[in-house]
Amino acid sequence: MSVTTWRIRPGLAAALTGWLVTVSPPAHAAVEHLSVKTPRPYGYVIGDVIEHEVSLVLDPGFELDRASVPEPGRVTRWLSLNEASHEGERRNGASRHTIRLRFQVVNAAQSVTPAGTPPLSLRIVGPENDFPVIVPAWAFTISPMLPPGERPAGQLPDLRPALPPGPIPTDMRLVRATALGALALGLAALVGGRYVAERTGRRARRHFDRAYRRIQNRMRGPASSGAYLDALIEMHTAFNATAGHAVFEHDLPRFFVEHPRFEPLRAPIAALFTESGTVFYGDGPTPAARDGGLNRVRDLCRACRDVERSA
Amino acid sequence: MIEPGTEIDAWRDRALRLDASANRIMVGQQRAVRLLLIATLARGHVLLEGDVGVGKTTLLQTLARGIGGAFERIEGTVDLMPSDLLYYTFVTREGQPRVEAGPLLKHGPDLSVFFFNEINRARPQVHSLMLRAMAERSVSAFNAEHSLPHLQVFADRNRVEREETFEIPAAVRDRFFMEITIEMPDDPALLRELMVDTRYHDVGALIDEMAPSTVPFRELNEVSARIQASVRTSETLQRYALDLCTATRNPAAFGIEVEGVDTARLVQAGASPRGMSMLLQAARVAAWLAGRAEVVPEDIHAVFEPAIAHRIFLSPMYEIRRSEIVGPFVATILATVTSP
Repeated sequence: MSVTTWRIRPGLAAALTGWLVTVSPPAHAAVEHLSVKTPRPYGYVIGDVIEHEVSLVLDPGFELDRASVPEPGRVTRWLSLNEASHEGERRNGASRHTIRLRFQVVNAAQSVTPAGTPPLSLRIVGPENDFPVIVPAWAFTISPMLPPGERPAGQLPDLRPALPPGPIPTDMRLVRATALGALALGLAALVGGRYVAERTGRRARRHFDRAYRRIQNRMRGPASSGAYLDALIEMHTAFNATAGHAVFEHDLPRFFVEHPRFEPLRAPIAALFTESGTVFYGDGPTPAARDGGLNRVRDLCRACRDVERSA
Repeated sequence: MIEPGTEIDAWRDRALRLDASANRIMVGQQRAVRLLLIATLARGHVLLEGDVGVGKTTLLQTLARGIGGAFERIEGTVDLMPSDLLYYTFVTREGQPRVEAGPLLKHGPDLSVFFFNEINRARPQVHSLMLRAMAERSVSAFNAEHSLPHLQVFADRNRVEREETFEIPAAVRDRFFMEITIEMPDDPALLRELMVDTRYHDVGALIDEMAPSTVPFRELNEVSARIQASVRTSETLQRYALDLCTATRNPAAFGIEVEGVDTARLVQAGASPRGMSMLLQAARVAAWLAGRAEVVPEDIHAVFEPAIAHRIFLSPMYEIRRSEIVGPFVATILATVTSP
């Protein structure tokens, strides 16, 4: 498996433009990291599976348009894309994406034939405009399974027909023993796993704790107008995770019914959602809100964290 | 906020008056009335869904009186032909053959509400005529183009019987701005009122309670354009709406799960670009009616299901269970996709 990495910096981007990544000049700085893991490029035959792993890191404020991740289906005469998965996470405001593509060779070659995966165009959504990031095509060869022409008699065995399916096990003693074994294993895993789950689950459920740490980290760094917006997003993420579904301003009454321990904070939480609505859907943050807003959001996050810990 | 005292604010007052009057006539149907008003103010055609006798025709006649203009109605039947909508022929008392304009043309440009009852009983030829009338608000007949600038089509589908029905093609379904469900009120007190109160026995007199032309139909096209121009959508909101629509096409990528359904195989086609545009148009009107000059997620939520659900085409193995799947699917999308 080889890895091709492009680290995009404004200075370097000019040299790469037109070959690896076709992005407009102001957008280059948004792509922090782009790499593709590919397997060997030679010697594939019909049925072989080729896996690519694209890693992409975007600066805060930029997001990958998930609709630009390709859909499974036939891609070329030689290849079919059987599976395309996407995983994304946000770390320190930056979004990290891993796209796994599972191609399969679906055609038999008569001689060694060059083939390739098509270039992949990923759409990046930015605060001002959208732009594409192109993952270049990847070339490889497909080989025949048999030597060309007539097979010399006696030198190679005849092609074997496909194996018929095996019989379904019908021995009930074996089935019962397997089921009992699986049950015993399952119970043991349940008992052992419960202890681990209790410990890790409690930590995983501390959504405001995580948000508070992230906001604090961001406040320790250089002051920027994005910190206030990021803090609001952290709060929304924590509310969504606590509720287990997306929480909007009009969902708050339901949120307090489902999580009554947050009831004492109803007024500041409602104010936060109203403020966030103005910032993200209305006229944007007022200078006054932006200046004092970060501390206010941090304080509310701390109060929510305390409520969360008391549970 | 919409600036008070402006012309657009005065229009909002009229629209809310129409809403209130319609709710006095159609009790227990606040959501349907509001959605119908949103579709009217966005100049969108509507598919109506509901059992027999829940008041679909009464609601449309109420709306037609509230906006003025002519109301026409036609029943979908298996032998209905496109020409039946355009003209009909008869022999006069004097024995002369005559050709008269049919329901689509009878009122010329004054036709404001056209109700197509049981549209899926009509043949595809009729659907294709409706497609043209809905998309271009004009039809060709008698060697001339006839403009129907104020036409709003309402169509009802018979969901009970399958004999002699023709499912509406995807292209026609997508032209409909919304599909509005009219359900029977579940409040026993309301149901008793509907049964006992003599006010509801005479539908004609009931509809006359609506003040005529509260929102004049001739001005609706202009008002609709002004609403769309005056209500803003922020970039965050646009991204949210786009994510919601993308989730209808690729639910597995957003982690959408519905019980008993493999969501990776559920959808054949999700919200179309036209549907996405109509979703935002509807959300802008909802925001305007709420007195806001910008759209918030609450407005999107209010119109998402009626504007998008009928554009989701399921795989054949799930289509048969459509009525039990689409509602939870749409609700899960709204509960899963986050913003900001």
